[in-house]
Amino acid sequence: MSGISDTERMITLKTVEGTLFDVKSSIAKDLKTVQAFIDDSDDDVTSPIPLPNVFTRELSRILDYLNNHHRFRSGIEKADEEMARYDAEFAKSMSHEELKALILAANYLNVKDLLEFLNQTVADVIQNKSVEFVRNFFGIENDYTPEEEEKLRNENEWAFNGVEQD
Amino acid sequence: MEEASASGNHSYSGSPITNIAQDHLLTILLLLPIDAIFSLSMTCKRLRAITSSDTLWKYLCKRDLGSSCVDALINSNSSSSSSSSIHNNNHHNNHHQFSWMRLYKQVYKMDSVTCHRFSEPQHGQLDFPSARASHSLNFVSNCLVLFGGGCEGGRHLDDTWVAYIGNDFRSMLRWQAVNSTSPSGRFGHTCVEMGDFLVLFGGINDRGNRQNDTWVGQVTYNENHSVAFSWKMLDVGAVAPPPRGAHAACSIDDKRMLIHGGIGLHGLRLGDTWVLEFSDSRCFGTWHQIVAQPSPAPRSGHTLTCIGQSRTILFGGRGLGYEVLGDVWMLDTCQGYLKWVPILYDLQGIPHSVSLPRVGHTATMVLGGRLLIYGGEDSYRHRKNDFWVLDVSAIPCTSMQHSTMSSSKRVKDKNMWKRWRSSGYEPLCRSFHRACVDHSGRFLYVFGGMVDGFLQPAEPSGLRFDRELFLVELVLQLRD
Repeated sequence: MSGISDTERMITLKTVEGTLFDVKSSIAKDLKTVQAFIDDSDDDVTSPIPLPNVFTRELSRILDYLNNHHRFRSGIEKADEEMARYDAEFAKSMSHEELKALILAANYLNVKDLLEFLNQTVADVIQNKSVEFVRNFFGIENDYTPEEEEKLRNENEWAFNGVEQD
Repeated sequence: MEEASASGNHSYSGSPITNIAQDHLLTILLLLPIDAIFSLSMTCKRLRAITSSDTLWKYLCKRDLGSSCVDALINSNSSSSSSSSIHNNNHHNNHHQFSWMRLYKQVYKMDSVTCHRFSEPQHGQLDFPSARASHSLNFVSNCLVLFGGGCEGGRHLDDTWVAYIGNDFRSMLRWQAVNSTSPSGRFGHTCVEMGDFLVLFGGINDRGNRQNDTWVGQVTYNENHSVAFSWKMLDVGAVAPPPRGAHAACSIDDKRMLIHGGIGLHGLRLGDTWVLEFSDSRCFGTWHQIVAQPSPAPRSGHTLTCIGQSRTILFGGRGLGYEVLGDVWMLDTCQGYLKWVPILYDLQGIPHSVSLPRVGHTATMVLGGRLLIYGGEDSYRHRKNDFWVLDVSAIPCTSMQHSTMSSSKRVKDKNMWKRWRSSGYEPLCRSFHRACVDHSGRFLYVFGGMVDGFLQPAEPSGLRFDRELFLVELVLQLRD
């Protein structure tokens, strides 16, 4: 145990389905919730850390993102373009359901950079869309009466001047 | 592992995604254009409450109107005498009495200006700048600064005038002549605000000599609280752009100034682009030329305006064949290099667009991200007194930076140009006047220029030089 440097240590995470993931402690640092657990523990963490709110699909995506971003950052300069391309592909590869699930997981695990990226992705998705689309995306129930809705549409008309919706 | 709610999840009924903490939702809101924010507000009552927050709208005003504009609005509201409204007593650190959402809406919907005339100087009063055109007029350190210009008989002027703009400027504006070394007399020079400094370049004198010297000026306050102005020639080393006048210039950022075109030696119209980069101390600068294709055609009497984020817009002018131009170009940074990008627009469906090409007009950034174009001469050699607005947010974003106002907003072409109405004092038709705007972006000061004479308006001999200072106001109702 002694003599092993921090960056070589491996942490094991367990998802809802019971799948185990071995993660380098340098990557685990980006999962702030996990890091807080490690910091709070008196002894070294040897047994797998259970994540009762995180599913395999999401954790796999998050680790994929973090591993790639660590690789881009530690490499030679021109990685900015490669990173942008990776991010674009990453966003495109998910359905809206998967995107929402990933936000919840990233929020729970407190992965700052990924959350910023996902926020922007959501903003890009809901721009230029109808109110109905936005409701469906977030799974929101409409609690307005048709009259109230009509009144609001008229009040807010000015903000939609000159914008074409998808 | 316990369910550490790192971001404070609440167990509301409703979809899990909207249960995410309010500040996370606010982060997403600040990435959205306002129409998307209103779409969100119309999904359900809870989201409407969140998106109506005055704090959110203050951030949106800062984002879309700029911090300096927001600060200027807060200052102008607190300095004017008024009784406090009961409405905002709950906000203990807010002194404002207006709603930020209402303000944003007013700015967004604005489509007219109101003009005011400053009181006429009494005949024989000496402390007022004489009639002139192709001078420079700037707003810097809370003062108007005027220099040089041309007047009757093709003579040049070399006087500098300063007027302090306080809160009571409408009733009390006094020009003061400045007695100090100044650049030699000239007209058709440019003078650009860069922070607290003015940077002057080029110009033509009445012997027809084009200049290429660079001067830096600053407002100074004397012990007796009167204002003065001091000029100093800038050391630029061996390299300088060829001498010229009637070129265009503007700042790119707080260290760099851009110039383009103008009329050079032997009366030739130029189409070159140069950048002046200042040292940290502002004691010297270095000129270098930008060679890029494509690039705006040679021209004079056009305008360059900085629109923020190191982007600048070029408009109009008179070309090599003496024709009046109406093209729009943007200078932007692409992969570390400055590049000219033509901005194409369709004139179909824009009323009065036949008079859009201009020379000798002014183009200034005003409140709400708009380029306000006033006056100048059109293709029919008519001097104009109309106001046109180029909506900066309608210009496609070419750089990699993400822009909230325009990135994926598909805007119909006709929204890029709009003609605004004007009420109040009707200004004379003029060209080669000068204009500058204050920090709030709501007040545009216009001085001088060539206006139609009384004998025969269309003939060149019918023109006269003007000495009028007037104000163009973008009217905002600050009290609820």
